[in-house]
Amino acid sequence: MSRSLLRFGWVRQVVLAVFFIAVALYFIIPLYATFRFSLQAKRGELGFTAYANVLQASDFAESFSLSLQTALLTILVSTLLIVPTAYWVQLKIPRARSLIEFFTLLPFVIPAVVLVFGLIRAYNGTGLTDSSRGIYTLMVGAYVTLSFPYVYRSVDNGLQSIKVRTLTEAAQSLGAGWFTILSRVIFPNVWVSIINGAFITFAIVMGEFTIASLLSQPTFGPYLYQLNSSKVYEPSALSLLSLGLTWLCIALIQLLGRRSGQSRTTVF
Amino acid sequence: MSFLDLTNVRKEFANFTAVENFNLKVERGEFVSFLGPSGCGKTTTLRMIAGFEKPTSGQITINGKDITNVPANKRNVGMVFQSYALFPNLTVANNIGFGLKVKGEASDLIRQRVAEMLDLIHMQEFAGRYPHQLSGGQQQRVALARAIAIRPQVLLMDEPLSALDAKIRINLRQEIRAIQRQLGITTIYVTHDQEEALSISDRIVVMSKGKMEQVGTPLDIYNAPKTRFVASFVGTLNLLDAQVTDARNGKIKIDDQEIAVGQQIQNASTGKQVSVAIRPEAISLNGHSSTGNHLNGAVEDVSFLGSVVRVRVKLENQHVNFDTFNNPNLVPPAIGQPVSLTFMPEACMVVQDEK
Repeated sequence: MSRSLLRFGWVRQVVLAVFFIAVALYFIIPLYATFRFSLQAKRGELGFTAYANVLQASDFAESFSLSLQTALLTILVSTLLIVPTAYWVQLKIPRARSLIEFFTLLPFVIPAVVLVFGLIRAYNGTGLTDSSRGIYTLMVGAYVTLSFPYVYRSVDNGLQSIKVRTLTEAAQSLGAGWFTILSRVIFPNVWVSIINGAFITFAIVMGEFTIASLLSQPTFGPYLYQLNSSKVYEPSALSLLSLGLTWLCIALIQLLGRRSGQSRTTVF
Repeated sequence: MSFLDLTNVRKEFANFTAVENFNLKVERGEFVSFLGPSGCGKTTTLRMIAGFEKPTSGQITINGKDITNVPANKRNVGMVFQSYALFPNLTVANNIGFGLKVKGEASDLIRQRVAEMLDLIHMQEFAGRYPHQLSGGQQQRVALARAIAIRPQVLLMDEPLSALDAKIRINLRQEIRAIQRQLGITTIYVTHDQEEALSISDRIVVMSKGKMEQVGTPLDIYNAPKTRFVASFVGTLNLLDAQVTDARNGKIKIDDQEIAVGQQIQNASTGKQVSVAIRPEAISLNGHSSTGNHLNGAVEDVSFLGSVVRVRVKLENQHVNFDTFNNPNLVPPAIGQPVSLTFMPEACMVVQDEK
């Protein structure tokens, strides 16, 4: 009996190891192939010429920094909008949670094309569609809408894991107003959830193509597409670079989150 | 004028009345407990004092100032919650100093006050810990220190010991009472544990179905319950149905056995149905007092409760429990054994039936 169990355990471990290796290879092989291909810019030798070309191109820096700025702005706006909303819903109108959840899921069923034309049509004549800054604002607004399902769910889960009502009442009994409660009690306690939502929002915005392209914004997504159609090796180098930079940003965000989690908040 | 005054306070939710016609005057430094079963309105009343619920009608004043419509964060009322409600992102010291920081006190003063509070709760060495690194009892002591640190006008405690185990609960309630006496802070304490309320309070408000049943000292509440509800809720009690047989001479009949209850039924008419409450500890077994009452029955059950042995005796239709101290040299009565229960007429409390 015990022998058969032992044998079964051994077989199970092998199956798991094979499965793990297969999944790892599924991700690593394409990455390696792209990397190998990106090194072949110069005929007959392997080198980083494609990377140098990409990094030296002024369009790259501009489009990447614009996307980075847009991603950070989107995260900031959606956090400032969603955390107080989710908090208020849990505290004052918990019955409305399912309705709010339904609204936050709408970006999943409304295609990006429809969203863009809807925004243009709705804000046409308000001045927002007349200037590049206005159109950029519309794009950020569209990205904030896209981030709703991820940020709301993440923050809502975070709020459910703490006793929102009791903590709020405790803070109120100590003299705290709404701003103090949000900034010193709620935000620090859902920080990890906000980071999780920000993580996904960042990834979405950095690679987004449809909205930026339809609004004629020179962000990283359209730049990558344009490069793909005109160059051979550089798109592969750029894809890997953007992947690396995205991971770096995510690592920085997580490090920031972990540090703030370790040192927590100090009051005096 | 009393320090905390609740006048005709009423609270209605969508389709039910949680608190009705609540009138209470609390003196400065007094420790008052709201006692009652779940849903009796005690927490709602406390929350109205805290400002978390707005009374449908009525007035609440503290130190002569009407606070009925003052927001919770402007009342200077400290609150201790059942679930501790410590801020998970703050250390013990920062939790205690939170209210002072909100008030805009200087850092030096906050540090000094926090040190005082840590000293008060004997937790100086825990200043740098986070709530999740503390036991339940320690967390509640921190919550108490945090509520007291802001020097509140009134301290409100909502079943603060309910989540703790029995031994810690007893130690902590003594600690709470000692701190309250030391600081002379006016305190309202909500509990459903009658032993807790009796042991800790200056006065107790017994509540049922949103109404005040009785207000009095623990001794009053225990020894002279005014209603059938108070009699049955506070302490263990024998509540027996009886019939007045001779009101002038204070005689009633329980299961066809006549006993004396003194002057309490002077105004009752003969034949009236009443309820008689007798504490188990007021009854003795097979006593020979000539002035005492006797009820005859048979032992139905014997329960060993540690220092006390509780015996249940069946009369004709009703049961009577009586307590006797545990004594290893005495053999408890056997089940089925005929016994005579003896108790003084003064031990009988005739209580009003609920309408």
